[in-house]
Amino acid sequence: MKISGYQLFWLIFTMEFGMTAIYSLSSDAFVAKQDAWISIIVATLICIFTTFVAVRLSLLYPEQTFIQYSQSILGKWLGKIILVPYILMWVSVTGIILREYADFVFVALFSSTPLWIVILIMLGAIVYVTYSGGLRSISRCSEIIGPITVLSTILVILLSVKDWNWLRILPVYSNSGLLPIVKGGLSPASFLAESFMVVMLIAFMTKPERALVSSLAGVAAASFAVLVMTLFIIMVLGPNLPAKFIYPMYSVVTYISVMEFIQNVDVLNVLIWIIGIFIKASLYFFITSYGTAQFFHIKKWKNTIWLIAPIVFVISLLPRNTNEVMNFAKFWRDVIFPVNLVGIPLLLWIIGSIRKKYMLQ
Amino acid sequence: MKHRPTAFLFLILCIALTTGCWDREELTDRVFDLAASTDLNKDGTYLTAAQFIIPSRIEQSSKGGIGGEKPYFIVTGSGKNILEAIQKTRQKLSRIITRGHRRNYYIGEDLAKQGIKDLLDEFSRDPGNRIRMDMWVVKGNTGLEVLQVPYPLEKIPAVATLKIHKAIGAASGTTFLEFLMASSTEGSCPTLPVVDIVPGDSSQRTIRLYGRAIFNHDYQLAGYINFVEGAYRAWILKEISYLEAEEYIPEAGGSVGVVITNFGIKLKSSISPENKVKMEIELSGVGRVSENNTNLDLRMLKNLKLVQNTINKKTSEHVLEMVTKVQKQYGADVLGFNETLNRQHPREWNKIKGQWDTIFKDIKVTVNVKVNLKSVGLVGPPLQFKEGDSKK
Repeated sequence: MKISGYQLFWLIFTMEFGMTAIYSLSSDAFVAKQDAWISIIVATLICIFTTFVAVRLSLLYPEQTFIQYSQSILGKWLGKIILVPYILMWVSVTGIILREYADFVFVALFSSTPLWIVILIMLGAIVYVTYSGGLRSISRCSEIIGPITVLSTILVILLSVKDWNWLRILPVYSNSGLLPIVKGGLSPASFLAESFMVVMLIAFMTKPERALVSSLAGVAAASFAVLVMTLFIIMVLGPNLPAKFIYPMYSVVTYISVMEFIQNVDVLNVLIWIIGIFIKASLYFFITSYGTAQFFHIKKWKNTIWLIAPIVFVISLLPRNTNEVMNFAKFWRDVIFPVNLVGIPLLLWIIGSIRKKYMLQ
Repeated sequence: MKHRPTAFLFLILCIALTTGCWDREELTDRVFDLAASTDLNKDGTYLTAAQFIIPSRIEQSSKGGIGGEKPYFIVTGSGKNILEAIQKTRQKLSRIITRGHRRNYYIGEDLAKQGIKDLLDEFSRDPGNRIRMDMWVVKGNTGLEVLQVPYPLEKIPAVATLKIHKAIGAASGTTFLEFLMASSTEGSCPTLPVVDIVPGDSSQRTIRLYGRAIFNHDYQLAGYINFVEGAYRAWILKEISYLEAEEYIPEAGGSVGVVITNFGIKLKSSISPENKVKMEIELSGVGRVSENNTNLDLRMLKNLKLVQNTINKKTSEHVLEMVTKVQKQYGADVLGFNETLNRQHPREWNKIKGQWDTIFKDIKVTVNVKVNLKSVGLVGPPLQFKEGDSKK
């Protein structure tokens, strides 16, 4: 299981773009109204920083995964304790991603198919790709899916050009203010910061020194795509409406109509998003399985798949309605994001660098 | 390689499972709703009606002319809210309603006057609906009545309003979203296009695009502006692509008609410390003379200048009349002045936005139309005139 820098780029891009564009660009992201795009830039800066920390942290021990080196940095027991919230986070977020995906499919495509079937089919694909080749097959999938996502996104943007109204972005800044802009950036930032998962991926790279460029480029490309989508939403829906839609991105795409015969292109987009979500969920699933195996020192990591899959399935069915799923996203933004994705990695990086320096002396 | 036979079997199994349609909801089980309407019943409930296509008759009429049988039918239902009314409609339908193709929605005047607040939510919440839709107010009539008026050019009469809308140079499908945007913007009042039913060819009635309906902040119909006024409004909002203007030229004792295209607009706002707002509207366009009932020879630059100046002056007056009507009579900002002020003077706007409705009524507006007549058509003076009749 080895991946190249190019593959890492596409892995990060595909897993970040789809989910961020459709889920995080909702009411929380549009607090700043027509300045929401500034919020996205704020989110991008935050995430480039967190990704930078995550990569530098991993490069302290390029041969080891996060599970291994956090124990090397903090010692066996403290390291294990600090890993528990991560294992819990990975398991639960895999389940929630599946559920978010199923909820969206339920709204957009199949309103009479039971949720558990939608989830089970996706889970089947995820288990298959993880079991058959692990990270290698996931990254190969992303290498193919990523460019398709980019092309279709460009297509959607081109098709919608005539509905744009540049005046809707104006006036810049004066209707919102610093606080709403930063507040609006947090929710997309919490999604984009999931690039933290590179801490588990760099150990598999053939050339770890390329990790920094690839992952930062991946985050930047995904953020840029999200930024374009945000501008596109504002220019079509105006400053006030986007905050009221559950999936503004989807609603905007349904609005596309070119020359009265290119219409209903949303179906194409839903498909692209679904395969994007597939990459993300598979990555999380792989990380969870592999991480758990390393955590408990299980020799064959693939055996943990059969334990993780049912747990993930149950978690995905736990929320009783869409609002509870959104509560998880809020919990992710308010607790997991500052603690697990920013705080602890920063701490580990500082301690790890000091330790390395000290050991060298 | 050793997995090959199993994989092959699995693939075949996939084909068997996925190629068919499992719950068989095919075209023959769906009914397409092309236009719908909602009206107010006497007892306060809603009456919704929808125009459905009869696919078999569409084919017939394309093969063998109009056989007398309509390719559509109308089903109605009433209820306390839209969903209940749809439920009543469904009781009469053998197929599942598909709304992805609905383009027009008519609202009866009575309902519009009472307010359409309760109507709007269903359209954007239900994923089966499209937000690209045109909503219409039916002046002096009910929406159901409009659905029942046949239209000779189109097989499905509902398509007619859509095409009229497009033919006169307006964007189609945007009115519903624009309504929502205007009602969610501070200071703006929403509008909808208007149709009415007029006597047409012999005993037939026909649909006519009347103009624009102005709503107040409570989504209640405040009044109408007519077709030309609506076009001026669209000019100010840059949503227009074609307009005819005819003006009487007193110096020449006749009228000249021009067709205007290539519209442009410049809005300049200013605000005094006492919150007095001034708005300078500069409308531009390219004109082409298409009717000349004067004795002017338009090949002469002097005459063309005369026509151009008169048309610009008169049109400016008409636009100003429309703006004043909207300001004084309806007191509803449907001209985007609030957004202009917000863009050009954001700091001042933040202070006055709460009292915009009163400020809007007292805005000092100046209108300056600058249509540039670029072509006079194929003839100079009218051809029927004798030599010497035409003024050089």
